[in-house]
Amino acid sequence: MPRSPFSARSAGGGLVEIRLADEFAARLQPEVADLLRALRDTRPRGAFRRRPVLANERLFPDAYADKTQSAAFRRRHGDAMRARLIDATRRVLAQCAPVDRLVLDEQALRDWFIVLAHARTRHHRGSRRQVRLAAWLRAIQEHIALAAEGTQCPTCSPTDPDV
Amino acid sequence: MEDQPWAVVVHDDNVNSHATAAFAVARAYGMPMARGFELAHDVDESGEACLTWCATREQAEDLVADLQLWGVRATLRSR
Repeated sequence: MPRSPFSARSAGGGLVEIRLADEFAARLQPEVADLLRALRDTRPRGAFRRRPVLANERLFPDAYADKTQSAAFRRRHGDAMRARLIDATRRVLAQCAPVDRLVLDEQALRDWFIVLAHARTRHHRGSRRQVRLAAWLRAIQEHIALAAEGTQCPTCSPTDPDV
Repeated sequence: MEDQPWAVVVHDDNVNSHATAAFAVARAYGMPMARGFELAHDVDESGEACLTWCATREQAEDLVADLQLWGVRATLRSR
């Protein structure tokens, strides 16, 4: 039986062991790198100001029913949330290479899950290709989540997004 | 209003699956995955579900910030 391009399985104690084949890592790595660029890069906003390419309003949904309160929430928490996401994305990018066995500890598990979540959210309202990509990223999340809980996925090979 | 308890509510976002929502909520809030699946089911049925009540607005905001970082659409509201 050919080896799957991606697998995630329990390594015991809540840890997860993943495997990334060459072609799988080659598809995932640009997604993570793009997310990191979008989080860090800014573009001009008016003559003297700049704003992030991926604004906090796009990253994090309204925390209140009221828009004014939601804006105040983002002023209080948005930059710290973004900083945590950037740190996690940097760490995942450093791990995003072909590997036969990579054990994700609690921190790495959290990093991978939230980075995949935000990489996915960028695509879910896009073209048909982007929607397929979002589903692929979500499938990776599901495999990692199930493995963390000790549930072996029957196939453990998220369908290739064919992008 | 600051003295009142604050509810942390998880919403259906048409983005997360049951498994991803359950895992994210379970890890962010520190509860068993089975309870996370129950909450995800309630969200799917009703469009939203109350995760917990917090004594202060600050606590509720911290939890909402964490849930949003995990990729879950969460809000807070006072009683």
